[in-house]
Amino acid sequence: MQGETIAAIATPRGTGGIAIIKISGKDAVAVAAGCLSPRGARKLSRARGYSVFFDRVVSPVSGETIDETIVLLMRSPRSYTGEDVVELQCHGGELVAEKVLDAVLSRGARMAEPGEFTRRAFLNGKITLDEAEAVLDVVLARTDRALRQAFLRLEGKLGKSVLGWRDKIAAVLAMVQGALDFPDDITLRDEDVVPALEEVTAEIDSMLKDGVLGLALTAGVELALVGRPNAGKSSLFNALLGEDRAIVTEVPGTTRDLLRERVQWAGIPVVLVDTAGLRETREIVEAIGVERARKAAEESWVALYVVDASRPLTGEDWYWLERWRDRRVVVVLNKADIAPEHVKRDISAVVAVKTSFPVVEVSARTGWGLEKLKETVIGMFEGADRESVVPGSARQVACLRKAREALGRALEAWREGWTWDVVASEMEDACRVLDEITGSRISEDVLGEIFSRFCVGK
Amino acid sequence: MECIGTRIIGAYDACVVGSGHAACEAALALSRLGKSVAMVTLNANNIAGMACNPAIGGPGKAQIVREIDALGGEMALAADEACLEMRILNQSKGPAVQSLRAQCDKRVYSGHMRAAIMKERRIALVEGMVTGVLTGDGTVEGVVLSDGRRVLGRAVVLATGVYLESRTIVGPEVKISGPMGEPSARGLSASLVKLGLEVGRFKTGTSPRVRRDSVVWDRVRKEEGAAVPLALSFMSVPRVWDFDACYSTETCEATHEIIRANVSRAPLFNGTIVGTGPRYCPSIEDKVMRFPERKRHLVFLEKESRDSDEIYLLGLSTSLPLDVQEEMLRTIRGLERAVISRPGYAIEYDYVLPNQLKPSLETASIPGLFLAGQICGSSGYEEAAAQGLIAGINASRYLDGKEPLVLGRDQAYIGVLIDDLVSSPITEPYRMLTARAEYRLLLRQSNADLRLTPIGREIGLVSDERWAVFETRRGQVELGRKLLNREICGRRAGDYLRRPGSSIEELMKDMPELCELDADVLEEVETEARYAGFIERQESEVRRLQRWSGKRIPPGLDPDLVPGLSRETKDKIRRYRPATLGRAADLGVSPVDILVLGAYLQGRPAGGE
Ligand SMILES: Cc1cc2nc3c(=O)[nH]c(=O)nc-3n(C[C@H](O)[C@H](O)[C@H](O)COP(=O)(O)OP(=O)(O)OC[C@H]3O[C@@H](n4cnc5c(N)ncnc54)[C@H](O)[C@@H]3O)c2cc1C
Ligand SMILES: Nc1nc2c(ncn2[C@@H]2O[C@H](COP(=O)(O)OP(=O)(O)OP(=O)(O)O)[C@@H](O)[C@H]2O)c(=O)[nH]1
Ligand SMILES: [Mg+2]
Repeated sequence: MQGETIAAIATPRGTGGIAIIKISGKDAVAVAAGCLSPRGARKLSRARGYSVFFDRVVSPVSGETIDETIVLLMRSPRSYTGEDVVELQCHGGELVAEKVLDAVLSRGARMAEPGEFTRRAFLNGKITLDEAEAVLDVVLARTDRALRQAFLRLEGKLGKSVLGWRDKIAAVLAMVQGALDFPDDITLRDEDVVPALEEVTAEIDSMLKDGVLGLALTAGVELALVGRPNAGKSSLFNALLGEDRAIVTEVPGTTRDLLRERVQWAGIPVVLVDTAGLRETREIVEAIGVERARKAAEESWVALYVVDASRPLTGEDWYWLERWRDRRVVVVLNKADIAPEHVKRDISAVVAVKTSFPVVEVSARTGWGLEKLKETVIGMFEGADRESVVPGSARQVACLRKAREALGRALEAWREGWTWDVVASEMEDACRVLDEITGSRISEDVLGEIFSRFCVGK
Repeated sequence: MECIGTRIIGAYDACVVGSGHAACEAALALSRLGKSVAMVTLNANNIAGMACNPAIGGPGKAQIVREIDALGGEMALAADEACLEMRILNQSKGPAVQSLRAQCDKRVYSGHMRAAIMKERRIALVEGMVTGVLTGDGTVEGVVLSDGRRVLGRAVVLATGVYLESRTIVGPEVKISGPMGEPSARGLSASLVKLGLEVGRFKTGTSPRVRRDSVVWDRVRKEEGAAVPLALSFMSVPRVWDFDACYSTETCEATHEIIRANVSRAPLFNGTIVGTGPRYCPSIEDKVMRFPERKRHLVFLEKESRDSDEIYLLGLSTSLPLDVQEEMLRTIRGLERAVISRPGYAIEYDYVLPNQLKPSLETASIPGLFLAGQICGSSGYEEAAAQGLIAGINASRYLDGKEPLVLGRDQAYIGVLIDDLVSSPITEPYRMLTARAEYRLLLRQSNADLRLTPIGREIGLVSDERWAVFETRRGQVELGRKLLNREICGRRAGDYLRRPGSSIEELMKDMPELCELDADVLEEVETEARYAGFIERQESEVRRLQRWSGKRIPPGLDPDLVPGLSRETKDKIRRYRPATLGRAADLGVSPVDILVLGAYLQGRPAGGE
């Protein structure tokens, strides 16, 4: 158990239904009792295990009643953090919640740091590292689908898959090592090594594919609308948003700065980014805008390259499409309502020849083709219709990727006839990285990074 | 030197107890570092005896032998002189696990060690049974013998092998005895307990020996030795060893039937033996019961010496009753009429729990008392010799008031061996395996000298002659590396070797300078170039892990001073004193406690306090 007792408001700031003040640590009971009525204090101190009762929060300074409260006690170790935990549920209202927290802090608790409750839960062995990350995801989940995924992970499903793989690799490794240390006793054939490793590789691959989705589910995907001035980016942005958010004029170079708005497509949080039209310019403000647009396109998950389909593509269009040939891009032929059929056909044809980007015709003005555009983007989340567990953090994805690479090297070394000592070392590597996902092997940097993402109160 | 009548028969810098593989290296190292040594043993005629199979080396062990040699030890020289036949094991499985194995003439081996010891004028050989360790003010002062004589020494190395309170077992026959009919060492173990050390009980076993003329030699396969010149020591001239010394045959279903039918009479299975045996060197009854699907097990017939009448049956270690051993042989091709000259037996003995040792092999509680060899829970000649060498070096450094020599896990198999022994729970006799070395791509038998001879030189065990040989070889290796860095047809020469199947000979046409290099040097630089990618990754992994898992835990750390550690972790730290955070993690210390510890060591508490 950690030394100090910590406290925080566990519900979002602002006026809500109720506010919860959470206190955890070995003095949690004493701290909370100090803020209750004498009767409530006695009741709390005597309570064993779980208990719930109604009382008042009293200011330790003035003795005045601050609010009514439901007191919830969870004794160590049967609590979230594994320590004694008291929750004071008060009426919502920013001021009231702050006052209750002040009272608690004046009784000797310390303000919790971001993620500290969960860190303590992890440190006290209540949850594993991947579960800790899942808690974060549940807290941050913005959609139903994301929430379901996060709960799956919270139950340790990711950890279970990883442990399964690790065991499978370890079994092959034991055999290879046996053959190395007992040359007379054990012989190895392809079928002892290759199928098992290939199977794990395939399973990791499939989880990695979903991993992109996993990240999207928790963090949201960014979609940048880019293209030449006047292509109709801002009009499309407004149309997709369903509200008149960005300024639209027939003057090229209307949009200067980035605009971001959050929407939900098929349960996936999507962030739309409107940008300045791409062109050479001497005007300083616009030039900065163009630079931001380029960056937004390159940092986004998909770029929607919007063109005015009523006229042929320009050299500048080709410059950008060429530059982004290895990125995820959808070419959007806008103004389909006024564009002549043969011009649209010509553009589609030449884009199909020169790039492998999907092409979608829309009209931002009439709303025609917007559904098709959404479907195209959603289709780009591979496995978007799957409900299996997916890794939810960049760290997990990175570890999976490393394990995958090590396995790939092991298989390659085996097939190319590299010696078994090398094969064994690569397998050992794979096991080590998998251990880092579940936290049975960890580095402090990793932990610091993870827990700094937690919001206060969780 | 032995003056009967006085109770103190001599005062030396150090006493070494035993004359086995560990004791020999310890005594030689001490003497060569200028210390006077009394070597006390039960039987002065049994020096560096091979109680089990007549061979030195094998996977994980050859690397150790080379490391002992690189540091200036004796084992490899003895094995080369006594060699009957040498083989390269794992030849096709990679340089990291390639291992020499020398089948030796036991008598010549012992003779070499005896001569090496006799040559040291500072070593006095004393015959007798040590029954106690003398201490004063908690520090070691010498040993006392069963007849009351005392030998004084400011440092003591106990290398008593399998003799402590030993019992030998053949079927129902249990005898208080050491190996090969030698006496059991009584009393010493109890005196160690009195000094506060904890002892445990292990067992090991050996195979029956059969008469040479009772084997039908044309019904067994001849095992060919390597046809290329080889040597274990960096100081020996490689030769082709062609004494036909090894044959093989195998058990069959009928053999296994006999074992199954008699398993109730097997001491291992009926409760007579309580000590834990080595999983990696199992008896035949163990193998048959544990792997019922195996239809046969290999048996090697090894000549124990050039002129001996006895044949060692490798793979048939057993403690079944003699009549069952005889019946078993009836079913094995070539051994149908074999006459057992000495039955296989199991031996049970006390060992000292090695977590009570520092990485220097000195006991943590009694300054000046060092342990080495099988007494520390290990098994095997090479493992024993390695500890003997390190204990000898560190006893000498203790006498000189110098820092002990501790080799890292990324530096030597010896480092892995000792680190494992002193800082992890040992639940069976510890045998070295290549799998135990996480950095085995770096720890090859072929580069042991490059890794360790400079260290041996600094310590003072590497003679001028060995140093000269080493410098020549190192010079050649450096030249070879330089050559492989040059370009041929626009590509770095070394990169050609990264393809499996390529060979350095192909480069010789374009780079005639390579022909000047010795064969072993060519092989070394070829390996370095071929495995460069893998080795670099392993090296960077070493560095990455060392950032946290290499973080040292001070040996004297009192876990009670670290706030927030679980009781279980505190116990583990006290018991095994892991040297680093990584070792603590290997002991199963929870990630949480690893963090708490890591944060404490960094001088700031964990958990944002
Ligand atoms: C029956 C048997 C089976 C084995 N099987 C295997 C196996 O399967 N695989 C394997 O790897 N290894 C095996 N070995 C182990 C191998 O032989 C030993 O590990 C190795 O020899 C240990 O070396 P050591 O120097 O520690 O001790 P030893 O070689 O045992 O030498 C001990 C020395 O100490 C002396 N001594 C003991 N007590 C006293 C005392 N109180 N006073 C004075 N002198 C004393 C003895 O005289 C002896 O010289 C086996 C050994 C035996 C006996
Ligand atoms: N007919 C038709 N006109 C459109 C459509 N989309 C946009 N426009 C018109 O095109 C002009 C430019 O629209 P914007 O949305 O401001 O274009 P933009 O790409 O954001 O331009 P910049 O911000 O200057 O880069 C406006 O006059 C819009 O009314 C469409 O689908 N059909
Ligand atoms: Mg705009």
